[in-house]
Amino acid sequence: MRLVVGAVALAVMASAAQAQSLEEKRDAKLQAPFLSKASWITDFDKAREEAKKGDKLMFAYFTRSYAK
Amino acid sequence: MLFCHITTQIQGEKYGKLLGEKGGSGFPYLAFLDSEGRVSAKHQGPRSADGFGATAQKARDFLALKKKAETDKAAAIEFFFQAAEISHFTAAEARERGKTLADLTDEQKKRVDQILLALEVQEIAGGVNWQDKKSMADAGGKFLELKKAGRIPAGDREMQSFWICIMEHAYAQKNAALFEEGFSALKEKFGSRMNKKFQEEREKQLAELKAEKK
Repeated sequence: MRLVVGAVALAVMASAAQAQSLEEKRDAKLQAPFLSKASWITDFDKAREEAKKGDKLMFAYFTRSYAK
Repeated sequence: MLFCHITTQIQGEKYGKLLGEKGGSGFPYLAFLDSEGRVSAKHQGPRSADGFGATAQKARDFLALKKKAETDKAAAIEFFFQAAEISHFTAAEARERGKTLADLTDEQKKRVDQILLALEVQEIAGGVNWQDKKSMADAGGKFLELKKAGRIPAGDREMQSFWICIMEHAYAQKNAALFEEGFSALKEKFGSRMNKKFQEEREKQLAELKAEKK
């Protein structure tokens, strides 16, 4: 098991310019083709609301948008 | 139904720590959550229809065990262990549940203690901003209190968070001995698996702390 947390701990702190870039990266990720190919919900509160309606299981896919 | 969570690292974003809270430590992370959004099964098999189907069945079996645990003591114990394994509970919920477990063997009691400690460490670590040394050092202060009480986690993931944050705390406090203790613990546990860059940076920091001490 790699010392993943250690590598993350060495990452340079986001500057104000990078913060804007993080939002742009998030917006780009939200446009990813896979999200439009099926009925993905990206809001956790809405997903829980929807799941409660029919006592359904949620298939959860965790990804990120901040990678370089 | 399909839920996709995107970790953005944007400051102050709602559910920014959801990955860690749901038992994930890297990407991609796949899991089945129940209707309350609690983990019911982690997907570790093939990423295929059959693979996902098998994990969905595990989730359904887990939820059936949860139901049985409401009235069956043995099922309650088994449910507790399975739930802890998949991060179904928060640390507070696990503590409350742990108190209700009856007829535990000594071995089971030890296991419950380790689980509660691991959850507590995960909860503290889940609140850390790993790009912010102060955030890590603050968590290190909390972990130091656990250490002082003789409560040191055994799991790989918990040990990493625990000692890395304690080292960050020690560095901020100019405590060379504590820094070295944490570094030694990580080297002993992870040896050659340790990230080289991380190790080099920490060697430099330790040398700096020792030089300041003289």
